[in-house]
Amino acid sequence: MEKPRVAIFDFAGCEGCQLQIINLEEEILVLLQLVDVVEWREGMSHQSSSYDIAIVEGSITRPEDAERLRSIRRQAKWLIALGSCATHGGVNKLRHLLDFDIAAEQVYGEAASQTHLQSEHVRAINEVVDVDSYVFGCPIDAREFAKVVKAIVFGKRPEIPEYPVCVECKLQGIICRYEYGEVCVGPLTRAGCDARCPSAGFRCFGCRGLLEDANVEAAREVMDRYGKTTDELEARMALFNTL
Amino acid sequence: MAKTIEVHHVTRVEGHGNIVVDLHDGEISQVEWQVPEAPRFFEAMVRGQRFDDMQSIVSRICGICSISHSLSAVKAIEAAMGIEVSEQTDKLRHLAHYSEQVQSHILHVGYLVAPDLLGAGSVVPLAQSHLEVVQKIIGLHRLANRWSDLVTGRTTHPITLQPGRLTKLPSESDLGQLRVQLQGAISQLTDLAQVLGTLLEKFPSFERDAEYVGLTDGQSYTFYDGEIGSSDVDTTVPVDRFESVVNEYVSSQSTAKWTRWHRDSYAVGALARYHLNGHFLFPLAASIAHSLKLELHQNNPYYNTVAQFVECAHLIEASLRLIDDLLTRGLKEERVAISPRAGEGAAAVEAPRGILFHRYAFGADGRCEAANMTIPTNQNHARIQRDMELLVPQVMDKSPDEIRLWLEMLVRAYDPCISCSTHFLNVEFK
Amino acid sequence: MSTVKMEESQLLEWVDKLIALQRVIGVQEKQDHFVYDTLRSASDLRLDHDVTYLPPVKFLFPQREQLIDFKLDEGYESRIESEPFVLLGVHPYDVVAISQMDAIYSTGHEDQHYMSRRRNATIIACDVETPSKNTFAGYMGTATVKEGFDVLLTRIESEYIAEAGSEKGEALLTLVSEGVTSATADHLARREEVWRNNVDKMKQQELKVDPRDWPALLQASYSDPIWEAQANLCFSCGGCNLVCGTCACFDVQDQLNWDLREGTRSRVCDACMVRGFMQVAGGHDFQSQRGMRYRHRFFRKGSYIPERFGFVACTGCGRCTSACVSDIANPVKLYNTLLERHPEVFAHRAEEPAPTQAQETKAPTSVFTLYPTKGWVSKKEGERRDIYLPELATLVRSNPITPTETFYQFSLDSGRALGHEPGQFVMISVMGYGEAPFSITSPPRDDDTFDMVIRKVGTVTTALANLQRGDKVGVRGPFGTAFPVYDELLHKDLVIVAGGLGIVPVRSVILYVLSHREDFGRLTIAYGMRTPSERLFVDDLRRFRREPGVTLLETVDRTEGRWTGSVGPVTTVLPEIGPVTSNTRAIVCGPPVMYRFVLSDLLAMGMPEDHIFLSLERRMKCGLGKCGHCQIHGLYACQDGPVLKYSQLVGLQEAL
Repeated sequence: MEKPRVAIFDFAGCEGCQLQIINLEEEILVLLQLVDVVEWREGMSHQSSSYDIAIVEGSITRPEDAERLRSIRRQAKWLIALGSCATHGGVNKLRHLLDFDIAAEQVYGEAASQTHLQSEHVRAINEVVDVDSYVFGCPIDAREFAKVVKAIVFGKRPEIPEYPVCVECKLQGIICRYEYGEVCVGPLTRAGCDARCPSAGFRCFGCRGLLEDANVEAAREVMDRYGKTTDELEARMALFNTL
Repeated sequence: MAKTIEVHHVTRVEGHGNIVVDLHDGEISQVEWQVPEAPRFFEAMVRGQRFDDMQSIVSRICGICSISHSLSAVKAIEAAMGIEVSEQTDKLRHLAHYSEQVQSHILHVGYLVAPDLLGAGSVVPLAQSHLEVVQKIIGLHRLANRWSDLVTGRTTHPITLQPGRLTKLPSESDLGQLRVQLQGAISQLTDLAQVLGTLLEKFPSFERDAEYVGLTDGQSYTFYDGEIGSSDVDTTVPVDRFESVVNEYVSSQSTAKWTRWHRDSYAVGALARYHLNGHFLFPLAASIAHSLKLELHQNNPYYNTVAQFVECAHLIEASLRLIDDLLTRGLKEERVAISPRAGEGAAAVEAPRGILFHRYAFGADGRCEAANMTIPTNQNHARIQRDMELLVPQVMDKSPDEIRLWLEMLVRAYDPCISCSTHFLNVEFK
Repeated sequence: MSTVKMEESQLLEWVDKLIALQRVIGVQEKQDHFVYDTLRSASDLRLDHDVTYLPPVKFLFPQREQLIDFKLDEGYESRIESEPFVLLGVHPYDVVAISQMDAIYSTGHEDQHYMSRRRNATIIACDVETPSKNTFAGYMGTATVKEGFDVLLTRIESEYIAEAGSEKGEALLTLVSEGVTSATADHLARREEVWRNNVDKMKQQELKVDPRDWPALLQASYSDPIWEAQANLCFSCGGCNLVCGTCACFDVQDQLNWDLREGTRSRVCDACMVRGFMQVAGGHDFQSQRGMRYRHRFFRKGSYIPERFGFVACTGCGRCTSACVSDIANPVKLYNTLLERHPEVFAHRAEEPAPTQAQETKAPTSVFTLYPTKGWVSKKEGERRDIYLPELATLVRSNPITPTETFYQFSLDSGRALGHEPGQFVMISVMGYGEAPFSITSPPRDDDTFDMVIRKVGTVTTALANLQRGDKVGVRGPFGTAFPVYDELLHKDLVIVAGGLGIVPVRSVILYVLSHREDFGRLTIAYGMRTPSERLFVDDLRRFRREPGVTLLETVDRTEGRWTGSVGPVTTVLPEIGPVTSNTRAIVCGPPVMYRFVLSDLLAMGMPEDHIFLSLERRMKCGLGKCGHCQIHGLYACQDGPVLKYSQLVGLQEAL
């Protein structure tokens, strides 16, 4: 079997997801027996225009980035969106809560009008091109990344959970954050992280994205029960799930 | 003969940076360090957010130095709201912070710079040619990751580091195990120091005078506490007045902002810390520094990599002491209830690549009203530009490939974290 | 069996001795809650806990466990745990929950993974000192317990009474320090007092419906809008399931190693409240709505399990109540509300004298005769095998018969004949991809081969489509009920109605009947397909048409090309099947939408309900009535089905 050629690209993001790939440590060397990594700016000098699998990190914020992404899509047989910025925009979309020109001016002052500072609406990768697989999370979980890559190489559709984080809390016996009076977005958020934040004593803030059938209405109603306001819920949902 | 060297998206750095050099008949018509990274506007985005959500947001500025961003954020929030933390929390935060320094330094020295020194395009072929070295690098990297995982709940984007407290304590037995692992890492570190010692000649010889800026407390090789010091002056500036140090301005070359203090540029990072605090190194680190010919007034920017390596040894020694201290006292669950209040505060920590500043103002409801962050890579941009301007005339006669390699290595030496250098602003604080 | 009395210090000394001997999992405090975890020292033990966050049964039926190691071409090996351990501090309601799980996992096909752990477990129970705020065990007959433990501890002021409940427990009690004496009659009397008090103490939530009445109340409430109304607040998070001491459902997943040749098959506790719990590979979800799933949970615990095992699958611990963020999981609230809404269920009892105070206090230990008296029945060693371990089979040949369906023939590597009856199914594993149920389309054979026709719709079927001749698969089965060609169908006139893929299992019947022609009467086959080109087994159909005494009626939904036959749903050709007599039996198999129309036509033609046999598709996962995914009301499609008589399904709204 010929090894699939893999290229890794990044757009607007913190590059923490690529770091998780490096954090596979020795397993990377094993991964490299399954695939040929032909381009990875952060990790290697070599660049290539011929690849089968494109792994794309980050959000699209500028026209030239959208164009580059489209050309990546044309090359790749299989495109993986890596991490929240790529899968649904993640924390970058908080910007949409602001008036853009004002935001730029707040950051850059009078210089905001300089052309290289112009930035458009934030888009997830699938808002620009078709995506074949998603690796959710901020940052991604290295083990899940490994699972997805293995599945693709093996010709199997990667199984990504479509149930709330609560499932993983309960599987591990992690005490519910609501019992500590915190507004947790776990009941609305796609699992797959092994309830990473609740297991470290912190609420879920939804980095893997809201579930397709997230019962937001129920969450609003439930706030009262815990003496919380829907504003607090909305604010927390907005962190990684602003549209 | 015309030589144009354009390196678009320098590889093996975090984020996107370009180098443009234009030489014409022995004349330099252009030498430029550009940062075209897409801007992300964090300072504007945190406005209106709750104080207890701030860490979750600003950690995302940078995947490589997320612990440093988190720590400077929670320290600034605590300064703004008058929150005191316990000694236990303070020590565990130090321990978390050190894990990130080691993780980042090993990544930089081992994965990003080592290929240059060993003549490879990436760490991948090194796994064939230098398997033993690569295994040691991976071993240290894994240790640093487990270490931050243990204290912060994750290797990247820490979870436990919240205002006033750690949301979860490591267990004493986990800390005990970490201690054993850190102790075991010392021999790997000294082995790698020997390897690095044989490669020193691969660093271009390029000396220049520069201003070095970093945290200093006059008694230790500090990463977390202290005031702002400069190699140009003997006095220090309190962190709360950091704006008078950084003097940010927007360069036409960059989406990131540049800084200047006593000169038109200054350097931050491991080499700067070493200039300011090098005589406070712990013994192992001091002996490695000596063996790697890292002089206290080393002025070759390429040696930043060596300084990072020396810091790894110091940080492991410092962490062993911290763990001993924590275990002697015993870990205790703390109950901390925080009620937000209006206020403004600033904080600084040393990120792996240099000093990092955060300032926030909060309303009485605990929502952020203004934010200002100045990150180390921005503080180095102007210095990188000056270094290039000084370096290019010295190497003009070389082939374009060689010039390109030296310039790329120069950029890499600063270990720029460009992705996090692109969202910073002037906010007027009264 | 001995009953001794210990000072607290003597108890701790004894526990430390146990810790030195084997792994002791005891109740400890963690972040303001109680959990079971490995005890390092007796001083960490908390026998005064109210309730643990997760039930102790999780150490017998872990939330995640590895079942099988596999090597793709070489074979599979079970992982059975056999390390002895002690569960210490188990409250009575959890002792009962464990005995219920024992019944579920040992009845019929014994689950080796569970039972091996169970045999190695020693249960040291303790009577409740502090009731939890959501408990209603006092109403469930589970506030105290007389059996199901190896040792029972009861605190009487500063002393503990320890009673051995088994030989295993008796042996442990021999480890107590010198100076420990037998409990006196006075101690035992005071223990009775504790038990009486505990029944009242464990009524923190007032349950107004006797659990023995739950099944009847549920039956009366099936169509009540309350299910949907409550479920509007449901996050489908499965929290109520996953903290439950009697929830036994699980899912199975394969993990591959980096070499892509080896891996493990694991099971994970599953939750019927989570979306997709009953979804089949084609995409159809038999419980797609929150309200359906919410109702299912209560029915499973309060009606289906009692029907099958004789006990209500709830022991009143209140964990689901605590775990539910929306506060809709509380059984007490739900049953009390149902009672208010359906007073008619108990109207006839109004004349019965109200229970006197004396009777009520007498009730505690005898309320529940329904609970299994013996946990599990030990089988002979030789009979134990891993019911989840597939046997190797080899792909003999495969050929596509339509653009989406492929014919497969497998042979069992052991050389044994599969031994199935027409209508049964097997579980086929493509290791690394998973396991799925498939009908057998070949008639019973003497050799080691069997045939299937499979449509490419999901992960496993896609993997099957990529197999080459000689590749290995795993096989478990045959499972389930069959069309009764050996008894009830003998000498009968048969009408076979098949739609779409429904032809696959009934082909097995047809071929059997054709090779035993003298045993059966007239055979009429009505077969409907979407289009002519999608018809399966065209060679067979040609042959059936020529067979004497066989009538083949074909129809397609949409015509194309040179089709001259009937057009319309399969009911279009039903009038042609001829007169239905008392000697006629019908076999119906097809997609869910087909049944309703075909059945009403057959009934209209005068066919009695118990003369109609049909085969139902569900999400069979274990094939053995353990995993819970194929439940249709009280029936398991994998055990009681897939072949069922229509008379068995009347009134079961989820069946068709």
